[in-house]
Amino acid sequence: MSRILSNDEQLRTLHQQAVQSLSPSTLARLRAGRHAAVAAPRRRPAWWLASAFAGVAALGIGVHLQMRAPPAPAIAPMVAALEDTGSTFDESPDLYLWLGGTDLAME
Amino acid sequence: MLVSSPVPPIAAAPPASLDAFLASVGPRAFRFAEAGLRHREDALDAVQDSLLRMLDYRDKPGEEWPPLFWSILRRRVIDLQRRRRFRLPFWRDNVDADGEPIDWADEGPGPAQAHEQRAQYEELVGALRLLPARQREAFTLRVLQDLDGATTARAMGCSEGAVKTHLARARQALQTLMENPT
Repeated sequence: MSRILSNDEQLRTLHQQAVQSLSPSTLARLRAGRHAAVAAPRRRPAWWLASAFAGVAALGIGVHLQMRAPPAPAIAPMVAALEDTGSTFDESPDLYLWLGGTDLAME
Repeated sequence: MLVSSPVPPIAAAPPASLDAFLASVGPRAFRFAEAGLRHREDALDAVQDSLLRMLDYRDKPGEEWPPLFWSILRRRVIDLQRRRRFRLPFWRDNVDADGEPIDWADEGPGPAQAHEQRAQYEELVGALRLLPARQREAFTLRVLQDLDGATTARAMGCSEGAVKTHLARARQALQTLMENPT
């Protein structure tokens, strides 16, 4: 047997004989499998389905984030008030003049 | 000595249709899977899956079908080998170690000649099953299936140089295994 290893033609002939010597049950299975494969509906990549799913998911996430967004006006007046207070003290020195002119600390 | 009737060579021309290609490649694919998987049912499953997957490439030119098919089948064989390797011990059967006997019909040109051919092929497959997967693939595709170097390289997902390396190692290992059978 080791002699034919150096002869590719003999190896191919042996293999071809083996291919032609498959049992009838195996050949029947192969034939049935081929017919089933050819008769199977053609599979196409469902890109439209993937795109639709991605779109619906993105829409859902967007709606969810919108519904969970905190009310913006609640913070805005507070900040505005803080800013107004500071600016009032900075811009009207009358308060400090009044404080300096009265002797409130002694009372 | 191997004596046999003349066997028509494997057609080099591109197949006329995918159905004709699948019909011609099915038995050869089974022998390829049988050598790698050691089990008839696994080999049939691998071939069936590969035939089914080839339908996705029916729009490709016929010249591209052989490397695509052998590449698909090769990967399917690897998947099934891994699945069987990680099978739980109580699901394993006692033929896992050596594999099942090769599939062979009880007919031929003559009983004695058929018996000799079967014994020779069984010995060859037994040695092929002991080779590393890449060496077995290179030897089977390049020598037994008679694919050219470029097609074999595409089917194996490597360069032609790598195919030559795997093939040379496979020949050396087979020679050693045949001369010193255990």
